[in-house]
Amino acid sequence: MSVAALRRWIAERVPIPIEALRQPLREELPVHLKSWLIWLGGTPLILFGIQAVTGILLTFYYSPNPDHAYDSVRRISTSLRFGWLVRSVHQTGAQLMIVAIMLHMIRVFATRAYRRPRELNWVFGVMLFLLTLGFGFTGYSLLYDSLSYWATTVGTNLVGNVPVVGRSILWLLRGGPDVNPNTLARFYDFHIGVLPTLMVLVLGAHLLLVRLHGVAVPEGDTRRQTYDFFPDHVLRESAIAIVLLLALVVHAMASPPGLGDRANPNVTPAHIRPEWYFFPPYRWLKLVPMQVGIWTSTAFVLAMLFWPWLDAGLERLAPGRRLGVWLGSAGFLFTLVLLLWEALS
Amino acid sequence: MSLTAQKFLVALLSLALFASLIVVGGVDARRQAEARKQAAAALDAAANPQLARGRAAFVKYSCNACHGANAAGGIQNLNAESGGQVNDLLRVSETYTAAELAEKIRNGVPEVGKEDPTGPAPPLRMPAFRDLIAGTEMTDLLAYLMSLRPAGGGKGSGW
Repeated sequence: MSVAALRRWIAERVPIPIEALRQPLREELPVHLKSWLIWLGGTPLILFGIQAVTGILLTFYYSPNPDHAYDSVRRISTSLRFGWLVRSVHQTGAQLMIVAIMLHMIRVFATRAYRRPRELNWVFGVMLFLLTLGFGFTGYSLLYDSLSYWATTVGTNLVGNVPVVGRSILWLLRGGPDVNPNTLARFYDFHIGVLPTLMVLVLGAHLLLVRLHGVAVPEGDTRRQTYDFFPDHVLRESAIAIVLLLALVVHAMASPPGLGDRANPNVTPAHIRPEWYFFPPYRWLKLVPMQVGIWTSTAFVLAMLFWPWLDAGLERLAPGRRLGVWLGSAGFLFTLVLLLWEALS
Repeated sequence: MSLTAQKFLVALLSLALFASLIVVGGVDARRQAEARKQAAAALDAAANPQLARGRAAFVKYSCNACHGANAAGGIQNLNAESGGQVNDLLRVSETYTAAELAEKIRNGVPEVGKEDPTGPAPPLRMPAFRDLIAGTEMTDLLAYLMSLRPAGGGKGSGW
């Protein structure tokens, strides 16, 4: 059968207009995207792909059972062929993904690309960020070594302090009043089932809106040139993907992730600490009374989520004063101060 | 805001993020190295119960009160010839035989040399342990002391 005949055969049975499928590739991107400062939006997507592949490989051998979880992670790291590589790429990729999202958010914040009519896409973006943090939290708990077990205990304790719904969410997360054998199963479910599903849905909405609106042209950019999504932009993104993979593999070889002592619910280690991306709220909650901390953290997340409208409101309040830029930058730098404070203490 | 100003803001905030992450990573790497060293020490102690017993004797007879935790020194002894501090014990294996060290422990150091001859006598002196430490306890303690090495030198350091 010739290729043309094969095409006809498929077209007859799967009547999809091929031209319509090619349409998304024909997008024209504004030329400012060529700047390396600006084009990082695709990076989290690439990393999500890497996470999905390595994550699926890890589920082949990981055992979400309190009696076996720790040993299965150790087996993956020490005796399975290339297990150390897959685990390391997954772990470092997760951290890089959070950094990449932060960089993308910084870019969108600074170019104010979230302005009308793109407010909802900012909201989807913040949701993706929160989902990624959720991935980080649940993923870390799966190690079931001493530190991750206690970070899970302390982290879920915090959830319990959230007003009104806290106790119910705590019960939902833990499957009981304390961290118990149910908890690991639930966290595993969240990590490989619930969160990926939500991620794909929100990511789809995010990309769809980007495609429907087109990439925002920054204020003050009078150039009207564009360049092609395919192959120009795809080539750039592929270059990033290769560099990222190389960096992840080199990092895995130079410094593979360790594994602490087996978790022991009866022994609390001296220094309980979450992963670095939870340092800012962790430090903040240590600084202020618990209820104040919970309310202000909630307010912070809400302000981030509804930033486009908050910024528009500030703009109406004092036109041309750039209050939003100052407030947002100050909020971000304050977060970094809390991060450093916790790291150095 | 002009395009240049926007790019400047992106660069500034990104650099702040990177600088913070480098600090966080550096601190974390140091902590992990410390934890690995402790784990290796614990493993050594488990592998060689004599050293663990010797270390226990070191603490039992309060040697650590003057010679410091892990015999690393750092305890003040005003006007002592060893730099105003009680000496550490990390190099005894280089300067004593086991028999000489045992004699030193039995007899103590009744008079510690002055750094400044006109100054006061150093307040800390080493008591004689003749009536306290003997037999296997002495052997264990000697084995522990002779196993000590300065940090960064000896076993486990780079080539």
